Amino acid sequence: MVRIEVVDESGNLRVPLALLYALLRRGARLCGRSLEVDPSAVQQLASGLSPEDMVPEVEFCPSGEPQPIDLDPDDVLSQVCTDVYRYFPGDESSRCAACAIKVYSTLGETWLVSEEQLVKILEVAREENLPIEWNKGNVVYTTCPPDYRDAQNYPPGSYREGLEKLRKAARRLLEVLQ
Amino acid sequence: MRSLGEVIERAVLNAIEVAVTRVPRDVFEAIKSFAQRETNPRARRILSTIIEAIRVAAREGTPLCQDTGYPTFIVRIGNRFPAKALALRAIKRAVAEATKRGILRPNTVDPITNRNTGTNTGPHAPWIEIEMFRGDELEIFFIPRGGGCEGVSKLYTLPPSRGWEELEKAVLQSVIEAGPRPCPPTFVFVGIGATATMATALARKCALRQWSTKPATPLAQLEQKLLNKINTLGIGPMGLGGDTTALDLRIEIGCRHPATFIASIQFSCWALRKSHIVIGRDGSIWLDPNDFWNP
Repeated sequence: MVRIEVVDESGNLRVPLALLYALLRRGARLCGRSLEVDPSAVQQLASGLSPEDMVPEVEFCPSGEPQPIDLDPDDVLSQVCTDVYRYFPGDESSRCAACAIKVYSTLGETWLVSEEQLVKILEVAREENLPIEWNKGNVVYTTCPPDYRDAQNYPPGSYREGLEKLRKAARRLLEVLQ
Repeated sequence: MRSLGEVIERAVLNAIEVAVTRVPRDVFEAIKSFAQRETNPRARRILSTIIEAIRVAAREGTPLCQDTGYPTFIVRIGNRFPAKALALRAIKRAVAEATKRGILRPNTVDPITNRNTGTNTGPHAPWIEIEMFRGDELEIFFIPRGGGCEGVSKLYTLPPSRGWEELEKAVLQSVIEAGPRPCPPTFVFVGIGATATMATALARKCALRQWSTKPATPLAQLEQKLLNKINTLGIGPMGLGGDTTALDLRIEIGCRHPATFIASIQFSCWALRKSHIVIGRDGSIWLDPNDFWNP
């Protein structure tokens, strides 16, 4: 087994999310800040990632600090997400929504989900076409387009539709995470 | 023979006098330890002066600081301790007596009239936090809170998904903004909880812990990491530069609400004053040897 350090001491991901996903699908085990990987899995990936290994990713939105959204405790999003956000200032002008799922503790340097759960989290992003980013130990699903500048073309207030999209993904995740 | 009320009053009076005239032994050891490691000559001189000031104050029975603080108590009452309400009255009487004798500076001001009550008593003065436990003793911690330290306290509502990661930023920002005002080197207290009240109470409890080497737990390691970062800021003793900006950083945690991660950040100047006594139902008194000692 080889060890690959995937998270630095500040909780930033050192590898692309797609590579993390690809290695986990090939049996890698989560171990502190590292992954324990069978050398054959690394060899398989030497020629590059296949389309099945790709997850939609997005860079952090530059619209300023995301605005937290208060949810009803019964809302499925509040049961799955550590935080729910909307992007772009102003309730009415906000375009995108996001749900942060805490998967790694920087403090304890431990994973808060199993390998199977993490694979599922990344898989849902693929299947529901929700671009994701890694942020301080969170996998953040967003309804932003991969190129955030395109979000300006969304009509103001469209984050509400985004919340519905996130709810659909959250319902799938609820079964996995509980 | 004295009544239990009189025993409590005298014991608290003694505890107040000891707290304002000498630092606990562990605090003294912390200052000495940092003084030995300090590389800035001016900072070393300031730390030596602080050590000398501690010795002079204890020898002559004079307050360590002209601000003898807002009288604050944490009182733990055993369910079988017989004189619960009496104990609280005795504490209040002891505070008034300590003020009358000049042990405490009058530090309680009516916010409406701006008049000093002159006795360190009044609405919510002294401030007494009460806890109950199963037992037959009365445990009292006296923690005078100086205005310089309390004036730079901060409360942060951090995003729950990035709570610990944002905490580092919040702590460093608080220390930088506080600058020389809390009379560094300081003790930095962090309380984490679900509500502002809870986080603040937990931060206050950090004052009860003793200075020691950090154990190998994730939380203690974070405390050490944050302390090291603070001590790279160069603020130094009294804000005049140096390696020693903080002597310790302590974090107390409670469960948070799913939607909140609230951090209260409080400071104590180098003179972290505290005294701890335990009074038995038979009137016996135990004095914490860490607080009741001669430097």
